[in-house]
Amino acid sequence: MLFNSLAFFALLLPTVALYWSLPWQKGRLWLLLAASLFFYGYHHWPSVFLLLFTIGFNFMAGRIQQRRQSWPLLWAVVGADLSLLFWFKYAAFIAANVNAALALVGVSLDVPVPPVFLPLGISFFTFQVVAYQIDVHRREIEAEPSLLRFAVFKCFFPQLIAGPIVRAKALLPQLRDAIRFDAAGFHQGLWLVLAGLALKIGVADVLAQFADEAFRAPGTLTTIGAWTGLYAYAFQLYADFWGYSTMAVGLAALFGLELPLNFDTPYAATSLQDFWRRWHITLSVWFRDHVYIPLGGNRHRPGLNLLLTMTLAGLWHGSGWTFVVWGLGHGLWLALERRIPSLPFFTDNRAGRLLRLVLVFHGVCLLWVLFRAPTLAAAGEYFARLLSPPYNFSKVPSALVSWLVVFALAQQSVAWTLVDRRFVKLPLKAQWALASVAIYLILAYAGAKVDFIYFNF
Amino acid sequence: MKTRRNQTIPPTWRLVAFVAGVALLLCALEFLVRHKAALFEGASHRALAKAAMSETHPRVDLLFLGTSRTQDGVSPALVTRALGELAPALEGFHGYNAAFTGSSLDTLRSIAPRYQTREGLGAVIIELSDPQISNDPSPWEQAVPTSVTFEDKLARQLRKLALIRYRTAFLSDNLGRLPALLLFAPSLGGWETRGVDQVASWLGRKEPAATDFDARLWAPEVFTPAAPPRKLTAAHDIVATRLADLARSFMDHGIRVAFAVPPLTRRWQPAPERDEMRPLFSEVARRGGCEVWNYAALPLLDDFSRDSSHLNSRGRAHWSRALAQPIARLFEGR
Repeated sequence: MLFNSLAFFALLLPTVALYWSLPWQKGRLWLLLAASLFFYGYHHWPSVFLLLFTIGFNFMAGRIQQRRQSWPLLWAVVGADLSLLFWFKYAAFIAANVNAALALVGVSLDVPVPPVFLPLGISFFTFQVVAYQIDVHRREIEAEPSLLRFAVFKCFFPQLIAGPIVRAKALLPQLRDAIRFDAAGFHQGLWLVLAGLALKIGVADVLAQFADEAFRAPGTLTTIGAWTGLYAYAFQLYADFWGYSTMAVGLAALFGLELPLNFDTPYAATSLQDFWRRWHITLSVWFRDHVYIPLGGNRHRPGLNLLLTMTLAGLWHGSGWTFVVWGLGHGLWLALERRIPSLPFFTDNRAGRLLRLVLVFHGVCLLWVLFRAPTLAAAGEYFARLLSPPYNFSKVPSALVSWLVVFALAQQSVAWTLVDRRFVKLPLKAQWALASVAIYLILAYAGAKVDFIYFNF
Repeated sequence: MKTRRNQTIPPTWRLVAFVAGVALLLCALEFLVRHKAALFEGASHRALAKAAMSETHPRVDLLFLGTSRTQDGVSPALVTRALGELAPALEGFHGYNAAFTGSSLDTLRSIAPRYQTREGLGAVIIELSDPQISNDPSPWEQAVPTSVTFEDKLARQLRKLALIRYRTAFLSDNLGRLPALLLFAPSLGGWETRGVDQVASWLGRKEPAATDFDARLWAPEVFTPAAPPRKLTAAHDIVATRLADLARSFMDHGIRVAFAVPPLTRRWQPAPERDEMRPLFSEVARRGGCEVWNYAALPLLDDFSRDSSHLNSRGRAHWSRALAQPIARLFEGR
């Protein structure tokens, strides 16, 4: 169920009310599990069976790993988890590419393209269980003895579909202790839900119109049109995913649970490494801990490790060559950043930082072209309009400029209110003013019903 | 100091106060929107905005409908002032310019019933021009979901709240109309699209009348109901019938009707109003039983216009003065 749908909120409110009226922890966990399965199944009910299988399999596997620490066992469990992801997400992509490669060498062996659907959030929940199994293997956590708690950890609806990728050691202990109503946490949660929804509806969905228009027919764009379309997409993607993550953290807070924040003003980054410490933080940490460091991390061939890690991260986002090249681009840039010492004009004063910020932002934007374009050819066409002659100009829609400027300027202040319960500490008048702005955006711009972009991954 | 005082309030009370404040704000907004529903509805579309603004006027005797050509080109106050000078019996008439940018034939037909039931409306002047008949329809009512999903049912229930029903008034594109609708509407004649003009009218500024008006220069080509039948293209034939129906729908309510073709500068090319649309004008007059006044054929100087198809303030003063002549005739029943 979409977080920005009426049905979701209509069911969320009684769920929250019932949750806090239940006096037993177990009852609350059962309610959370039932609600999570319902919200997940509402979109595509057969996927619930896959989710239940993943829960059952990983619960058992965790228990077995707890008794017997063995590398082959870990590989088998992780391999089984990844094979599901592989089948549902990449089988069609691989079959199509094998067919194309065979056709190139004149072999007409038609590998059938499996007609599979993409279960919502499979990339996220697969990564979550993989991390769980590795953590159990490393004895960083104990395997969860309660199936109920494990199931709630696995499919807690705020984080199930698009993250944050919550580690077991962050969530499971919260589920073990009796959850007490914390008014300040609930208060902050309300604001996070409101702010996240406003970011999604009032910013991302509005900018989506401009971005979609630009990417629909890049060949017809002027140079200015291509750049403004790209800025629109960069901020759309940011507001969309930031809005979702913020809502997820807020929704969890309404149930007295704490999830990690996933964003920290990423477009204020002054290097690409800094960017990945601020953008989709839980995914970056996952790849660092489970791919980059096991590959050798900073100790052996860090450049190559970065290249491999980021290419895999690209592939994680989507089964397409555009995502592979996008990841490769990030990997190359990160590797270069490690090699090339700071240039003299990148001094660490305000001007130097600003210059770096502008360069990093534009570099990230250019790579977003690959993220958004449906094919490499379409991405090439868009790059041509951005960078190569003829350079022509056109009037930029004033509405787009207003949205971009206001959002770019306001994001830092909005982000400030989202952490450390700062919103709750604000004077009530300021809280009402901020809530009014959020409600205004939701009220005026609701209705586009655009899916969250990261639901596709 | 304040922050410290805030922090001494228990968290539960702060939460209650926050929720209560937000609820109060929403209730107040709902009350305001419900109380001024027509105005908030009006903000969602130019056509509805003009209709809502006209309804804030206690009396409207003379109404102008059309596109931006008429919106920019007619000052109802100047028309009625000139009417009073031409025919003392028509003195004290009140006019309103309900024309709006992008008006289409479909929109006109949809909005017409709202004016037809207006008490005291004596005459309506409808623009007849190429954009008026060829603009795309611009629907203002959002389609109410008819499917039976839970989401749709909820959406339908929520539309009972005025705040939800008229929420498009709050879109940034529409928000600019709210001051005019909520504050200035009763003092506007309908041609004031810029904020400065709206404020000036609200403060009581009167538009200067045309000082060097030359009636011979502004004499329109008149098509009367007595015109002989003309052969039309298939597309124009449909348009003529629809316009005639529109005219008759006003006449059925005892409202006099005339069509006016706005002036164009000589630079405006192509201008079908000068040649290929003339048979249509004749047919509209014949089928609708009303006159068509064609000002498009006038050899108009550029200093009357702000661009090739829109009049400036001087042009507005002159065309308003010129329109008074045939309107007076319309009211006299001649």
